[in-house]
Order: sequence, then C-alpha cells, then structure tokens
Amino acid sequence: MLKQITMMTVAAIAASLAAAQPAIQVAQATPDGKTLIVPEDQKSKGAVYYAITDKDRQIYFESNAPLENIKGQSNDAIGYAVLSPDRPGTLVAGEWHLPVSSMKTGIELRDEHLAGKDWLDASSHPDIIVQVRELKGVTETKRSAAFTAYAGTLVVDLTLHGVTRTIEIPKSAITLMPASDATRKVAKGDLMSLRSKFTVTLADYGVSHPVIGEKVAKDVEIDVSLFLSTLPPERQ
Amino acid sequence: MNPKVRSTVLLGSAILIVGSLIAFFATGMYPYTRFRDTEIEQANAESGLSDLFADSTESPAEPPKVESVNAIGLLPSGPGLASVSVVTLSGPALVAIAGVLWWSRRKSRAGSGSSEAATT
Repeated sequence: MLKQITMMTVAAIAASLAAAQPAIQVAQATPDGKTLIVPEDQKSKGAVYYAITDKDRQIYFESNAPLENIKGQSNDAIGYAVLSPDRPGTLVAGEWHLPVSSMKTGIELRDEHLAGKDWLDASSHPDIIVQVRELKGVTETKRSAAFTAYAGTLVVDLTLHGVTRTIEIPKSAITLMPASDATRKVAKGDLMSLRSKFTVTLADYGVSHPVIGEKVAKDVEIDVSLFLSTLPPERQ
Repeated sequence: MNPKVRSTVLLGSAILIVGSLIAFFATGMYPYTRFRDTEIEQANAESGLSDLFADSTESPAEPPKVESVNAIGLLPSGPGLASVSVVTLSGPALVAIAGVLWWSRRKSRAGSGSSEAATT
C-alpha cells in the first residue's frame, strides 16, 4: 500500500514537472539546412529577414573562471526575424537555431566535452534555440543615408540543454540597411544587423558539473551578432 | 653507465626542456596546446558585413575574435599531437636527468666505498 502511494506521488510530481515545462513548438529546418521554414502565421506579420550563416562570427561566448578563461564562437546559427511593417525597428517574431556541435573554443577535446553528455548534451539537445517574443521599448538611436539604428529590450525564449526560459536582453541593437550598391557587394537584399549581449547562468538550464565555479564560470557571457537579409540563403 | 650515454641523455633532456619552454613562450604562452581551426578562421576572415554596419552602433559591429593558432601549451589538450606540451616533453626529460644523476651518484659512492675498503 505504502509502495503504491509512493509510486503515485512520484508519478504526480513527474506529471506536474512535465506540465510546468511544455514542449516548445520549433520551426523546422529547410532540406539544405541553411535556414528555417518560417511558419505562415509569422510570415504574415511583416518582412522576413534570414540569418546569413557560415560567414561572420554570430555567437561569441566567454567563461571567466578562477582557473581558466574559455572563449568560443559559432557562425552556424540559422533562422529568421520578422520585422513589423508599422512599428519601425520592432521585431514581432523570429527564431534561431544554433547547433551545439558548431561551438568552437580552439581546442578540439574541449569542444567535444562541451557537446558531451556532462555539459550541453548535443546528442539529446542538438540545438540551442532562441525564439523572439517581442522587442519592447524601441527607440531610434542613429540614422544616416545608409541605415537606421534602433535599440530596445529583446524578450526571447532561450532553450538550452532542453530547458526553456524567458529572458530579457536590454540594449539590444537593430540596424536596418536597405539594399544599395555598397550592400550588394557584400550580400543581396535589404540587410539587418542584430546585436545583443547577455549572461547565461548554467544552473538555470540544468547544466551542473563539479568544475563549475573553478574551471568553468557559473555565468557565461554571450555576445550575439547576427546579420540577416530579406533574401533567403539559397538566393544569396 | 657509459659516460657517453650519460652525456647524451643529459644533453638530450636539457634540449627537450629548453626547446619546449622556448616553443611555449614563442607561441603565446597558452595554458593548453592548441591548433588552427578552419571554422574559427572562416569566421575571423573579413566578409565585409561588419564593415557595412561599423558606424551604426557605439559597440563594435562584431564580437571579439577567438584565436586560431598553433601553440605548444603548458599542458596537453588531448591525445595524439595535442598531447605535446611543456609538461609532457619536460616531464620525462626531468625524470631522465634525475635518473642519470641518481645513477652517477650511486656509482661514485659505490666506487669510493670500494676504494676505501681496498685501502683499509
């Protein structure tokens, strides 16, 4: 009897935990894997900009721990952002996927450990996923003949190691640059730059390891720099 | 031990220790041995995108660079070539020097002991 009650209690706790963290809906990658398929309901919200991948550094991360300083990067993030047609510089939707296996620190074995089961567990959670909720408090910060720059607080759902949390990233910068002779030399389409810096506390995402706090920092600094174009990668 | 062998071991070990230290200092004094990474180099190459947006924000248009270099570190960073480091090169060399010195001292003591015995 006691055993049955214990099992029922455990099952109830497990069910409530599962309910507290529902599975997120994620956009699917295109067959060539170069971008994500934009859901129709998001496409209708405004102009779609696609991340330009495999070029510049998109994600930079740094762990400053007492015994070791680790710097890493990836330029394999794919995805899109949707720009509001009537609210200048405002993102109304967006999603990016960063393959965990694409994160490079300059030391191969460390990269393998980073993607391993003890850390980000790429076999179970292959991508770090960012889903845009909104960009609030948008203000124009700079304007020239070539571009208009905005800043605001980016609100996103960050899924890391299978755990999703909503985070707010103040001072996120968005710059819009319509196509011109100068831009066409570098990339086709109207361009967008997105810059954000934030901190990820590993424990918040269920990443725990005995060396956290000694060789790996509890809080990892993330620096995001995405360049996007209105033309999808296959038309670049 | 043959004096020639002893000299060779001492000289070889000293060269290994000094050489690994020179390589360590000359390649940037990294804590771990590392090698160039093509993906990091691809990201470090100028695509022109960050230059386009350089004037748009106060912060730099792109994040800091991650170094992609060949370097002999203080410690190894993995198996194979990544195991080459100051510690893995100098460690055995120091053990060899200590072994030769210990052997020589033991031999000289044994020699002086036997000569003392002969004189008495």
